[in-house]
Amino acid sequence: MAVQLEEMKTEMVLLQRQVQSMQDTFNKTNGELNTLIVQMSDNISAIRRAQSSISTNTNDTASQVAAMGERLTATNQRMERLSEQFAQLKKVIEDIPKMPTFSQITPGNAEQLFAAAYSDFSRGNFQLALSEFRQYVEIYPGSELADNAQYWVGEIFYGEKKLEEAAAEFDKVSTLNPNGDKTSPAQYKRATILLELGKKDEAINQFLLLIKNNPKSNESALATQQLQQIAPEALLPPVQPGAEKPVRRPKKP
Amino acid sequence: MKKGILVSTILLLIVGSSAFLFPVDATLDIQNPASQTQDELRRQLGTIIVTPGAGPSLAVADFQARSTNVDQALAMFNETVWRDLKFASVANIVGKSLYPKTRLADPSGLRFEEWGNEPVKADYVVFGSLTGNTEAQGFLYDMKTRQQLLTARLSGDARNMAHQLADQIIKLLTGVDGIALSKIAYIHNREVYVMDYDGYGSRAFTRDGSIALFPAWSTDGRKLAYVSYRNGYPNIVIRGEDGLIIGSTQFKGTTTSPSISPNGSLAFSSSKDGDSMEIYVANGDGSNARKLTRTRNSVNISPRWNPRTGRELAFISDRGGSPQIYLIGADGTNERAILSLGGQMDSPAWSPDGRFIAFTWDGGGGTFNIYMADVASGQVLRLTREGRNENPAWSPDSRHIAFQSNRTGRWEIWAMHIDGSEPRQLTLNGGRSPSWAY
Repeated sequence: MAVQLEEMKTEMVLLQRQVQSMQDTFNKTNGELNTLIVQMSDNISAIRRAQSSISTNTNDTASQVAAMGERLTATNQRMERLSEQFAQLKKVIEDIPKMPTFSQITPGNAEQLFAAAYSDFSRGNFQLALSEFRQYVEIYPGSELADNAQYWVGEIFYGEKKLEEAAAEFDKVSTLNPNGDKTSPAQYKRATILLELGKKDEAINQFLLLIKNNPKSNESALATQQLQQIAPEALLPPVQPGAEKPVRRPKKP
Repeated sequence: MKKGILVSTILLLIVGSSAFLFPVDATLDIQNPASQTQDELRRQLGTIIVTPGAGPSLAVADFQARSTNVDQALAMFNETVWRDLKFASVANIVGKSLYPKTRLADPSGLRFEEWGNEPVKADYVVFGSLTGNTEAQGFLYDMKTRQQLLTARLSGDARNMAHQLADQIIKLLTGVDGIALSKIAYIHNREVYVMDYDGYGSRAFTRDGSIALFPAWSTDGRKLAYVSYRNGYPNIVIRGEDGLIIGSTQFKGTTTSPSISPNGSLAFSSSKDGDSMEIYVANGDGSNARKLTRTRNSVNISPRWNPRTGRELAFISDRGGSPQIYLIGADGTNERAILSLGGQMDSPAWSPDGRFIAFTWDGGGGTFNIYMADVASGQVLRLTREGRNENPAWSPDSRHIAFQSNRTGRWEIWAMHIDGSEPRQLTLNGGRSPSWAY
């Protein structure tokens, strides 16, 4: 019985140690746990602070993003509507049987540029024609059609009643090609413009120059008609020194 | 440019025959095969005239009666609208056999899916009703947007109402004024007659009892000049649209082929000053004639104003040997050949938009046909092939050409699209020298 009691005491001590050990372990674990909890708590606090900070920024950013999103959505909707309208408009435009424009002008193709310019003149698109003819003269001053283009520049100004500019432009025609087929028309036009401007003497000289240079041209005949009206004496041959003075005979009744 | 070079600067691109001899344009890119340029001109003309398979589709539902005793007017109205819109060629007209069976008279009856989907598949639908013999209302709807584009309240006789509606639709779809209400003058039984553009309503304009030739409207359609033998010598007579005489020339010799400029000046050819036929420009009443051309023993005839600018005239001259087309400024300056293709040319007609000149040409010895030239580039296109065809006259919208043809065995007035397609006979009892009022 005593032995049994001793054994029970020993077991009790062992149990107590185990309990103590367990308690120690528990305490240690608990301490570590507490430390961990404190650390976690600190971390959590830090995280929360950070979160708080981030949250503030995020809230601002989110609201901005939301606003931008709304605007983007609205813009997208408008874009979609515009796109639809554009597609419809494009189709309408494509479907319209429109008058053809002149073929596309290939850069460097002088003939195409001249043809397009004259086509525009013939169709009454004078400003476009002016720009094209000027471009032609600028790019191809030595070409066969440069004097033609210059003539049409003068013609367009003349049509607009810009007489000074027209006279100046017509004057350039013979410079580009003195023997060209546009010299006589340009000189005649310039002379008539000078008349309109009241510069009679200059006009007479221009008419006379035209008649002298191209006596067989249609413009020469027109110039002669003009001179017969404004200065018939200019058409008389100069009196040679010593020549007999013509006798005026009385008209028959 | 050197003198005389221009004569040879015309490239004949499209003549439909390889037998024609002509100078090749030294200034154009002759490396380009003619067929490519021909295709390009055809392509450009294809943007003027809607060809099958291209352009929008238009369904023209029969108008419905909203009143009694309008059957005759209704039939005339429906036929006329259909013909107007078909000839306008601004859209492909969907065949009526494909239309829904339900009658459509007003917007409440319009079912978009029926007209917008197969088999009709129209982009636009025209419909409406006659509320009386002289009253109608018409509608035009866009099938895709389901929008109403036009509500037209019309009054007049059935044909006139149909023409009004067609012109309104064409204006809406293209932005260009329609021609359904335009008129054509022509010669019949030695007098000037005037008819609607589709050949209906022909009536005598002159009753001179002599010989009338070459009628020519002013660009606004308010004056008409023609050649009359009423006082012995052929001279020009100018009448207002009411028929009253505004003026005339009183020359000895032959005075012929009048043309009225946009500002009312009269051009004609005359031998009044000698043996040569020369080109003259006069005031609108024929007074104060000024000679433009000065040739010896040459024939200069058929002056035609550029109706767009009024600053140049095209005419025919044989000074170079055979009758060819020349241009000259309204003041007599800057005269030059524009088309020198050999053979015999006649009756140049400048398009109202100023871009093209239609003319008669025998192609260097063949039958006379109608051709068209791009004024600036010199590209030429043959438009007719059947019978003998002469005296082209442009429609006000520059999209159609009237001409005289003997393809039926007698000279009659015909009209066709600018590319020569869809010729339609306008007169049935004979006609020559058409002039289309603008």
